[in-house]
Amino acid sequence: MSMKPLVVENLTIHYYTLEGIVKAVRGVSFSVDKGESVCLVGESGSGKSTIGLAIVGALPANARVLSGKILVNNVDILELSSKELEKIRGRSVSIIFQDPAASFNPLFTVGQMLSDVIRYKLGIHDKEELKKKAIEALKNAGLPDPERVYNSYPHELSGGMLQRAAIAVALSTRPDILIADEPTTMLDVTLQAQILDLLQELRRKLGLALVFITHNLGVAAGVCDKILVIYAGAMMEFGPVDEVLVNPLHPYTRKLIECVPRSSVRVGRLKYIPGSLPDLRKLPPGCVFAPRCEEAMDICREKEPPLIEVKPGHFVACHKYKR
Amino acid sequence: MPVSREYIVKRLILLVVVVFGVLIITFIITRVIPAHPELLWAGAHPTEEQIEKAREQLHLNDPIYIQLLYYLRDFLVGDWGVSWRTRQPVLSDILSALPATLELVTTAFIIAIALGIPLGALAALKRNTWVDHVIRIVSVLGASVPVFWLALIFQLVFSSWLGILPGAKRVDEFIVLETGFKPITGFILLDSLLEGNFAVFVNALHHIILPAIVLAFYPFGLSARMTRAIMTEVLNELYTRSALAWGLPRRVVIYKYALKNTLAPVIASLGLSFGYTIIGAFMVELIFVWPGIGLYAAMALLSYDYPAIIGSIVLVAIFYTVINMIVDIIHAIIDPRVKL
Repeated sequence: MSMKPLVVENLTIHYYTLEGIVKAVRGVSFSVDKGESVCLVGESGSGKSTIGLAIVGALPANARVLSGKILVNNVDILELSSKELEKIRGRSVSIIFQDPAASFNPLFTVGQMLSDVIRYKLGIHDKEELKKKAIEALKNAGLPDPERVYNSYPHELSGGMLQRAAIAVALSTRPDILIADEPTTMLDVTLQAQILDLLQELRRKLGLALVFITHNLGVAAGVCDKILVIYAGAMMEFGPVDEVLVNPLHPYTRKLIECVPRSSVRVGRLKYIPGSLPDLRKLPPGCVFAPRCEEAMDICREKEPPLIEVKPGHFVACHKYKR
Repeated sequence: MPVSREYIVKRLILLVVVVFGVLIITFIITRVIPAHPELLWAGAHPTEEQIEKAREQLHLNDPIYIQLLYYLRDFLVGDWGVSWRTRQPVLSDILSALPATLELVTTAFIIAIALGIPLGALAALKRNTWVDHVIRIVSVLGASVPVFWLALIFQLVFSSWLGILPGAKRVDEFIVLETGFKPITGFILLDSLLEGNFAVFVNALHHIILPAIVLAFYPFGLSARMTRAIMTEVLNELYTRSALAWGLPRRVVIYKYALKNTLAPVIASLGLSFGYTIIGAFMVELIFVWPGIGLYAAMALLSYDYPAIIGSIVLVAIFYTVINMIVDIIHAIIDPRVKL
């Protein structure tokens, strides 16, 4: 059996805040193969970004991993010291963020940042070679004028260019796994498509294991091999993208699909899911989605449904389905 | 340079406006207080006639706007009027006292920044540990203890009781006379080094330690607190977390990246604190008999020496404006988003 670059097992993460313990992620498991992309789909606050941060070992100080494993190339990064983690970051896993403008330090040029990442990760100290590598990385990210971007400060570049630059930085160190945390949410629609295409191309070319985090099923449909639907920190449904989108099992997934606006059909009013995410500090008993679920039964409010494999490779956590 | 010519011109115009504003306000305040400077001018045991003559000489019988015009003439002609106490031109008095104050304030600022910024950064990195708590307590004390009290206590403890450091003056005269030291710029520490006069240098260094440390307390407390607060914020910014997530070593992220983000606003606040430090210097100089602007102004205040009072205050105003201009320029050099 070939080793998968990323395996997440039964991950549970809590945030400790002044207002109480926020149960952000509860028992999430998935794995990503070389060249494969898995989408984490969910509403804002569903814990999908927390999972991404945990995989790069960059959780905020008030977060605690209560249980689970994150195997990066078969090494559990949760067991590593901060020094060892520093080595893995950038080298095995890297990340791009939702807000490209805020992910670059305003006082340094893109080139300075990029060169530093290459210097410390690849151990290249020769100035000319560093610059050559950096320019090459920017060019690989589809930037038409890499020299200019190299010498620019973040405020001198557009969001789209900065997101490409961020991709260049993240991939300059040749990681095996890339976490893309809503990388297109803050961009114009035309730019979105370009960035998605670029990510797809790089994934194929480099054999990246891509974890794509989004709240947009439409985007997920275009990018992913597998979809993991998350609600209130728990897995609702997991399976191959065609299966999940064509034949959704969980009522939440179905609702999400209904909410994707289609420009080809005039449907009148935009659809939405009534209600909102439960308070993650005081979760209701039973299924977390039950309060918003039209098909909820009595058992849904009493017992949390286990994740069961309904078809090969297609998992769902819902009382409607039996093994 | 990210600084335009318009900016410099604008700031120079502002400087002129500030100087004249301060000058006129100070002038009016000195004239409306009920005091009798002519008694000092007229000498010991004056007769009625002598007093009246003194009033005439000092233009005190004229309406206030005529007095102001007289003063403005003196100010613009270049000598800033004649001091009623020393009977020397105020400008030359001030210029000869200035190096002492600059030396003291600069030394205090160097001490404050050299301790405040690293300790503030350390507190931010060790947030909510005992290291942080100790630094926070010390910096709050530094920023809130009155400087005149501190000066008296330091003088009492280190000079009178322990006798380890001198508690008055810049340098001992006998060493200056013995070694034939001749100041060039008026900065004794600098001059003695330039001349290779080690004895004077060590002596002057001993003298500056107590007043400089006392004066450094406020800017130290301020810079430590500012550095801690801003560094804490910077460490939480996405650009800091992304730099770590992209694999940069923590020490590089902190000492090369986050520190630079922290420095710009800290320097700006220190520029603003310069004014307080000058006021602090007035009291410290008086207590430590330090022959600078502060002592000069204090003596002027005690003897109703109006031209000297106005001159000292105008000088502080000029300083304050120029320092803040320099701070703005430093900010523009550090932060590429700032264009002046």
